[in-house]
Amino acid sequence: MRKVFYLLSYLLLTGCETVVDLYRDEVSQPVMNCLLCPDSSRIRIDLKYSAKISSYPNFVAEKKAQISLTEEGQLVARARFDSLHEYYLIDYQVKPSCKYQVMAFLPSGDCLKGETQIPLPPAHSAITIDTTRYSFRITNRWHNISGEFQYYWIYAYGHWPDSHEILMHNPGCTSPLVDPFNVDIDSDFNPPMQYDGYMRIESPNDPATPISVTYTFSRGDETIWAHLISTDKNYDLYLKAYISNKLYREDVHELPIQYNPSYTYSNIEGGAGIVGSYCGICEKYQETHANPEDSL
Amino acid sequence: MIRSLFLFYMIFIAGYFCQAQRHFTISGFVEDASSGERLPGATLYEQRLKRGTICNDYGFFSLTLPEGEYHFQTTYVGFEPQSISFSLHRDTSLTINLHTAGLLEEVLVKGAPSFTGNTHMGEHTLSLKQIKTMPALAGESDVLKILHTLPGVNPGSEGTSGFSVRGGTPDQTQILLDGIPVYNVFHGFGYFSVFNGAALQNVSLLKGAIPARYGGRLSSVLNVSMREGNMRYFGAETTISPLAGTVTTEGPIVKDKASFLLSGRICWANAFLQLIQAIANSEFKTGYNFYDLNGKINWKINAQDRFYLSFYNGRDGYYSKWNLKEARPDKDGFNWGNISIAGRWNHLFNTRTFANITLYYSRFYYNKYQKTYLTDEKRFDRSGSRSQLEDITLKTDLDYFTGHHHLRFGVSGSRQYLNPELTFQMTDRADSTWRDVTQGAQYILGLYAEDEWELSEHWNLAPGIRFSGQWTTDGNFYSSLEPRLALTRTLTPKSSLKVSFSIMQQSLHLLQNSSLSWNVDMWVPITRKAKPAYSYLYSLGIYRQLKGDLEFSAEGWYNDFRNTIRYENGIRYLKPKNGSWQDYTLTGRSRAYGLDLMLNKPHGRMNGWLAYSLSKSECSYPALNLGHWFPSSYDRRHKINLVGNYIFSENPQARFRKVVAVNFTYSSGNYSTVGHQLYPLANAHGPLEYETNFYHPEYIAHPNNTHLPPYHHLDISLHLQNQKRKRESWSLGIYNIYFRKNPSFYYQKRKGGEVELRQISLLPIVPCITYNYRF
Repeated sequence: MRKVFYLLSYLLLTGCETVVDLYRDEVSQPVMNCLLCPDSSRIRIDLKYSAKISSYPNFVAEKKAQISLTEEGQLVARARFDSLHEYYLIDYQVKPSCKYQVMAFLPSGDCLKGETQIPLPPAHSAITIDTTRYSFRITNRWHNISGEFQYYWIYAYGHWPDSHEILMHNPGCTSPLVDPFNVDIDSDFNPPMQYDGYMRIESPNDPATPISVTYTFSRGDETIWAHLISTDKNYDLYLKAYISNKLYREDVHELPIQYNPSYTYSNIEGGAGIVGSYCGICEKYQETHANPEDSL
Repeated sequence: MIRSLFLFYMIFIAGYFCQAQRHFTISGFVEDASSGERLPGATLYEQRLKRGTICNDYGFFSLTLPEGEYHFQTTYVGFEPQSISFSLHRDTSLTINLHTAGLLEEVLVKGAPSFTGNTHMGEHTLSLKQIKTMPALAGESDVLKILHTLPGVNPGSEGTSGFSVRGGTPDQTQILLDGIPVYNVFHGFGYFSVFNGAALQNVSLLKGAIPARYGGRLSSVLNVSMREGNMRYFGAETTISPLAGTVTTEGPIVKDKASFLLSGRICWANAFLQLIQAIANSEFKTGYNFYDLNGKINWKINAQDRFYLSFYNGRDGYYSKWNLKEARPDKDGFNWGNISIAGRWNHLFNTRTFANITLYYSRFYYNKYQKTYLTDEKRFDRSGSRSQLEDITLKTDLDYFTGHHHLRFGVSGSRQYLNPELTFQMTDRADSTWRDVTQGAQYILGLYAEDEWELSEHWNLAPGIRFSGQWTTDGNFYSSLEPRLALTRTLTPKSSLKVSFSIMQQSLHLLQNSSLSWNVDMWVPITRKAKPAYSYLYSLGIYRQLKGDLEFSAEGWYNDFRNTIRYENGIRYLKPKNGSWQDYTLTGRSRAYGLDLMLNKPHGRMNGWLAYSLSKSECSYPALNLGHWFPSSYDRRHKINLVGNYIFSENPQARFRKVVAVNFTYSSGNYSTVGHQLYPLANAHGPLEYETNFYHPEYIAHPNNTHLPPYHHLDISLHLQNQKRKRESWSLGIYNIYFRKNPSFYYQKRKGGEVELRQISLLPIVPCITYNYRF
C-alpha cells in the first residue's frame, strides 16, 4: 500500500513540476552603475551587460561607449575607458546639492541615462565608538536638515587579518527611528534589522533636530569601520531593492510558495542600473586585542 | 425663435393630451409557482406597445399604462415564459406565478432582460440550475468559477483567489449576498467560493453601467441572491462530492405565510489528508477544512409587508506541525471566515411605491498564529497576527414607478470598524500586543437618486447621482459626488446601441501581499495617506437579437482607476512591530480597456455561449519603473470561452436522462514577477563595497515582468437524472481533460553552478463524481 502511495505521489508531484526556460531568447540588457560621492575626485562608471541567472554570472563589459557627465545641465567631463579594470573613469569632483546626469551612447546607437542630486552630508555629524565594554557600542549623532527628506544608512564593516572586510550583521539597536521594514515579529532581535545589518533611517520633512542612534555588536574584529551616510532617493531605493531581492533569494529555496521576488530598482532610462549618490562620514577603530578577555 | 416656441407649444399640447388619456397602474410580484419564492429581475414585456419592466430585487413590478387591452409575456431565467392578457380599466395588483423549466430544460445565462431595449449594459444573470449543470472542479459547483467564463472577467493564475472584472482588482468588485457585502469570498487557494450553490437563487454581474444605488467599489457589482425557502412544501436535498458534502432543507413555517431555508456545506478534504499522512507515516502533519452555513427566514406579514432574516457563516482553517514535538516544537496555522446577518423589511405603500429597509452586520476576520511548545501540549509560546473588518449598516431604498419613469432613492449609514493588523506575542514571561495606528471605526454616509426613463419608443435614459461622505479613522473627512449615466438607442426592434458612464468611489483598500493568496490579504481603511480610490468607467455597446434565439453583444470599454495602493517592494510580513501598513504602501493608478464579444444561445436542446475578450490592463506607480506603465497581474490579452450544454431527448425506456456540459477556456497567459537575468551590483564603493558577489541582483524591471504561457483547459461533465427515481441524480466530470499543466507559480532552484527555473502546476486532470438526492 505504501509503495503504491509513494508511486502515486511521485507521479503527481513530478507531473506538476516542470523545468522551464522562459528566457531562451532573452537579450542581455545594458547595465550602467555609477555612484557619485563628493569626497572623491574620481568617478567610476561600470557599463556591462546583464547575464543569465547562475551562480557564476559572466558580465561582459561594453568597451566602446561614449560617456559624458553633465552638472546642472552643463557638460563637465567625458569618461575614458580603463581597459585593465574594464570600467570608465572621469576625473571630476562632484558638489553637494548639485544635479548630475550621466549619459552613455552605445555603439548600437542606444542611449542610457540616469541622474542624481548629490545629498547634503549629515549635518554636525559624529561617530563615537565605545570600546570599554565587551561589545562595541557605536553612537551616531547628527542633525536633521530642515525642509528636506533625507535618507540615512548606518552600517559597519569589520576586518580580520588575512581576510576581506565583512558587514557586521545583526546589530543590536533599540532606536525607534530605524526603519523596521519587513520585521518578522518572531525574530529574536529587538527590534530586528531586516536590512541584513544595514540600518536605514528616513528623516521626514521636519524642523532641524538632533538625532542619535546607538547600536552594538560583539567584539572580535581586528579593525572596524563605522559609517553614517546620507543618500539620494534613487540610491536609497536601490539599496532597499537589492537587500530585499537578496533576502528573497536566500529564503526562496526553502519556501518557494510563500514569497514574491522583489523587483529591481533602476533609474536608468534605456537600460538598467543606478546613477546614485551619497556622502557621509566614517570612523575607524583598530583593536589592539581581538577580545578584551585576551588582554586579561 | 417663433418656430421654436411653436414647436415647444405643440409638444406641450401633445403632452397634455397624452396625460388627459386615462392611465392606470398594473403592479404586483412575480413568484415561483411551486415554492412561492419571489423572483428578482423577472421581466414583463408588452408586445404591442413594446414596453416592458423589470422586477426589482424583491420581485416587485409596477407599470403605468393607458386604459386598454394588454398582452404581457413574463420571463425569468430558469423558468418557462408565461403569457397573460387582461383589460386595464383600473389600478390592478396581481401575482404572476412562473413554473420552473426543470433541470434539464434549463435556460442559460442571459444578458439584461429584454436584452436590447433597456439601459442595462454588461449585465449577466445566471440561475442556480444553470450553475449545477456546469462542469465543476471536484464536483463542487461554483458561482465564481462560472463567472470566469464571461467576457471581461479574468481569473488570476491557477491557485490564486480573486478575479478581475474589466481591469479592476478583486477588491474593486462589490460582492453582495442578499444585499450584504461579503469581504472574503474564497476558500483556500481560491478554488471554491463561499457561495454554497444549493442555497442560491441567482447571480448577476454588473460590469458596464453601474446604477447609483450601488456604491463603495470601483469596477463592478456581483449580486448573489439566496433562495427564500419553499412557502408550501418541506423539502431537503443532499449533495456528496469527493471534496465536500452539502445538506439543504427548506419548508413552510406557516404555510403561505412564512418559510425557512437552511443549508450547510462541510469540506472533508482533511480526512483524506490525514489518511494520506498516516499511510505515508509522515513526520509532518498538516490539515485543512472549511464549512459554510446559510440560513434564511421569509415572513409574509400581510399583502404590503414582508420581512426577511438572512444569515451566513463560513470559516476556513489550516495548520501544520511536526509529530515529534521535542525535535520541532512548532505549529503554524491560519484561519479566516465571514459572518453576516441581515434583517430586511419590504413595505408596499401603494401600487407605485415600494420601500425596503435593511439592517445588516457583516464581519470578516483572519488569524495567523505560531505556537512553540515548551515542555508539553499545554505550555507554549504563541505569536501571530489578526485582522478584522466589521460593517454595520442601516439603509433605506425606495422605488417609485410613474409613467415612463422608475425612480429610486436611498440613504445609507455605515459604521465600519477595521483592525487592519494586530500582532501579538505571548510567552511564559510576558504578553505583548501591537495595534495598528489606523485601527478604529470609519463612518460612511451614502445618498443616491436614479431613474430609468423611457424617453420615447427608441430612447431610454438612466441618469443617477450618488453622494458619499466618509469620516476616517484618523479624523479626516472625504466626500464625493458620483454621477452615473446610461443611454440606449433602439435601432431596430431587435438591435440597440448603448453608452454609459460612471464615476465610482471606494472607501476601503485591500492590500495583497503574496502571489499565492492564503487569504492573508488585508482590508485597510482610507486615511490621510491612503486616500479614497475612485474610477471612471466608460462603455459603448451594440446588442442584436439574431435568428434562432441567438443574442449577440459587443461592448467596448475603458476604465480608469485612481489612488489605488499596493505594498512597497519586497514586503513579506504583514506589519512590523512598530510600523503601520500605510508607511509601506505606494499610491498609483491603473487603467484597462478592451472589447467584450458574446454570442449567447439561451434556449433549446443545445444551449450555451461563446465569449471573447480583447483587453489590456496596466498600472503605474511613481516609485516603480520610473513611473512607466507595467502590466497588472490579471492582464490577459485574449480570452475565449465556450460553454455548451446538450440535453439528450427524453427516452421513457432509459433509466437516466442525460445532459452533457462542456467548458473550454483559453486565455493568454497573465503576468507574474520572475527574475530574468542577473545584473552587476553597484558596489564600486559605498555601503555595498564589500558585499559578496554571490548575490548579484536579479534583473526585474518592474512587478509582473513576465508573460506566462497561455492558460487553457477543457472540462466535461455528464449529468444523469434518474428517470425511475426522480429524486436522484449523478454528475460525472473531468476537469482539465487533456492534462494541461497551467502555470501556478515559478521558483528558482540551484543545481550545481546553474539555476533552474521551475514551474509548479497545481491541477492536472481531476475526475470526480457527485451524487445528489432530493427528499
